[in-house]
Amino acid sequence: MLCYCLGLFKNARINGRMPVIKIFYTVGLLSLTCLSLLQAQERDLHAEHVIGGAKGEALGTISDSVDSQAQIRVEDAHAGHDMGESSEEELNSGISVEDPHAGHVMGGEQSDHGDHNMVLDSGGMVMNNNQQVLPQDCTEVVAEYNFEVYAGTEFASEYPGTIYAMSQHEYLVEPCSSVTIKFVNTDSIRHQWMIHGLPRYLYPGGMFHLEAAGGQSREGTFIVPSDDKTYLVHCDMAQHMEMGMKAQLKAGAGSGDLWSIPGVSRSFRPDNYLPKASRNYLLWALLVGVMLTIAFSCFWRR
Amino acid sequence: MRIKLLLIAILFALVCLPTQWYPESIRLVFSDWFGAQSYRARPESLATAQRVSEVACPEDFRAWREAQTIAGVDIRSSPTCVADNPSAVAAFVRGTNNVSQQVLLDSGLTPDAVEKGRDLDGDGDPDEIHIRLEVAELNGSSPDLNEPTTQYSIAPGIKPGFWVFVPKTFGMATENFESIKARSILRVPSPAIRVEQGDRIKITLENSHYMPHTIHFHGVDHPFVDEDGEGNDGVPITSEKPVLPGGARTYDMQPRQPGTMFYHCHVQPQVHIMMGLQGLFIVEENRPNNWLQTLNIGAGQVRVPSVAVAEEFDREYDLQYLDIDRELNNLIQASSDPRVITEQMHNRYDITDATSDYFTVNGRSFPYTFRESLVVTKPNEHIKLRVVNGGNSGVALHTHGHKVTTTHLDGVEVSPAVRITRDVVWVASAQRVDLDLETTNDGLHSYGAGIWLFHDHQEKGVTTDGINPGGNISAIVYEEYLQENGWPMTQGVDYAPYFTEDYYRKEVPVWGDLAGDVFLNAGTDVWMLLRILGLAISLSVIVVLLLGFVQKRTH
Repeated sequence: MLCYCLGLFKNARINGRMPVIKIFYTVGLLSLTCLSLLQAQERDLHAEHVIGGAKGEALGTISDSVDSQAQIRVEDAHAGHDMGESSEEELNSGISVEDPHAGHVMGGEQSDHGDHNMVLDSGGMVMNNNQQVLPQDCTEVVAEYNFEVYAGTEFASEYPGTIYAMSQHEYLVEPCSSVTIKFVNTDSIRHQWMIHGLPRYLYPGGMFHLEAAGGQSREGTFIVPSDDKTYLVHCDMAQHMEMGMKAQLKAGAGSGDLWSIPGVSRSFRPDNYLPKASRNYLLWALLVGVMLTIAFSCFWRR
Repeated sequence: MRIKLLLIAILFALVCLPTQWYPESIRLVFSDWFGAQSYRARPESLATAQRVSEVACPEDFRAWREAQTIAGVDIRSSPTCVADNPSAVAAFVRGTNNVSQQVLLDSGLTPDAVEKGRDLDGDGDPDEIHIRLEVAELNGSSPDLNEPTTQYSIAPGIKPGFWVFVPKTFGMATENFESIKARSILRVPSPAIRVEQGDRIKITLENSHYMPHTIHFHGVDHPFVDEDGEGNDGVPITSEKPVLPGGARTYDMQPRQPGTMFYHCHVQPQVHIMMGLQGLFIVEENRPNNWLQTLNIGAGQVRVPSVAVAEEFDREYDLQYLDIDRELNNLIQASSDPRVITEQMHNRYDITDATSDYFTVNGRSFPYTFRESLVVTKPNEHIKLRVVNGGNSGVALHTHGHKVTTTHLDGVEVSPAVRITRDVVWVASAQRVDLDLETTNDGLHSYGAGIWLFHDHQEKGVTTDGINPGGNISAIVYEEYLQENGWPMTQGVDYAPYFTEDYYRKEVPVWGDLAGDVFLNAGTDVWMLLRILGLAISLSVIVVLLLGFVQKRTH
């Protein structure tokens, strides 16, 4: 496109040496370019039904490498399928892994729920609580952390354009440490504190999950393995993560930041926030550019 | 030099100009001189691309279709391919506070989703009912993904944004962490609510969405204010302030009259109702031992009908019609900022300019309707159809092979003497019609066994964005025409192309399978294309050269 513009521009100069012609070409081409750009943007805004594609790698994309979260997931899936090999540890661990299908991640709906180490009542839920059993790669619990996390709409006011948020969106812990979360829900609806990517032989589905009904709180503990890794923490109710309830837990140095964490990182696909009259502003800017060119070329001649 | 070039360009343009574009008078003269042009074969048909169809009838590996007894509740079989979760059905009948932990875990519901309390009139069923509803967004936007999240397809590849009331569940909104598809309990339409006449009903709206909402109980007997004097009608100006995100409100009522009613959000209703915040609300007659299936997920077959309905009818189906303007529903996919979405939906979107693109029954369009919204019958049965039109345009509901009788209008019984039996029933926006579908083969009520379509006979209603077959087409299927897996024994054209996204992207020739050699898409005439391109190039050369002349003169 650019070459095309330049080519025509050159032609015009050779043929005419007439600034009017040059201006005619320039304005025409530039406005065409701008209009097509605007058009593309509008198409984005009024996106028609988006037809499927690859799954949501970007859910937890890491800023320095977009694909690394996908890798993390692949590892997870492998961890799930490797259950057969690690079953001895499970038996020794004393944690009941009753679900024979736990490895078949895609097997059935809610296979990450329902069959796990779960305490459920009308006040909430604690899933895969683990205060004692060490991950295979840890010899001892090197540190103990206690986080009191508040969740609700009131914490969202700090981050414009969100509705739900938590009092803390980043958790820094040592590898092989035990992490105790007290999750306090200040809203009148359910919220969750859910962490993904933990070893599946210890945490069925790779997750540890606290859920608190409106005004309730729940507490639980998990132990992270020895590798430096960034874990996704979120509330998995429809749109709650998208509306601000997204956080990360970094074991050791972590493995980069996740996207869209309030107070930590930008959105992978941010909104534009341009004023309504952007099109006019752009056309004015074009005009100013043309005027400047004319003024400059006149000055240059003399 | 320049003139020579100009002449060559003009000559080239004339040569390139396709002969059929010459003025007719010149063509007639040429025809006289040279006769007809010789034969040139038209372009070959384009070969059809190999397309992989979805499985029409997914395997029921959890055995949800079978008749079964859970928590002492006898649940009828669901003959269609895809059935509701029977554990959830059992929990809705007994009350989520009265079933075992295992049933609850299998249902995905919280212990307080549908609480059932005391039997106040001593007739053997609970009369204190407390339902808790949340609001879920389907096919919404994500700040990190280039496709909708918590996905729900109404037809292959078609995922308009929706807001729905959903029962209170625990755990994730998706099937599992690796999936971005909504779990089966989060779907369109909002569940049909069933209560008994005279029950003390509490319905708590736990607003888990990012916009303010209320519930208005349309046609249901409810007081304007509750015991505490708080608004109970769901209307933001006259009754109460909307429930903000993160907030909750409980509505009270004790309906005295039975009938098929409606509930919907009354905040910015031109947007919120059309986004899917609406459902059937059925008040059943008070009978002894009347354990009701309080919620019917996604409407459709009622697997535990009430005592009164079971006396009179062999089966019962809830049918909810909704048409969708994707210019509205897809606005939630264009931004992840609630302020931007609010402005786009409530200030910029103008429903008076709306046209509907999709037409659904029970949240699906054909061919997905054939998976779960078939009305299955045997000869000599009576089937109760409760129909609501939640959409913006009317529904002219036509039943092939049957004439149905209207027994109730907007929940009020039509006197038997004046009941009308016909094969097109008009249902205006928000109207409810109770129909008696009789399958007696007498040439009037039924013409015999078969696979008989029922659909909106306003013809746009049988399309999906103008593509047929689509829209709210479903069918009345006699059991003898139903395969073991629940798919009807169709004997016409292959339905596989309709289970591809390409078909509804308008990329599949509609009669490709019927007579592919004749009706495949025509190929391109490359020679014609080259001539037109040559013409364009020579014309642009001519223009530039002429401009050069003008410049020279002015110089």
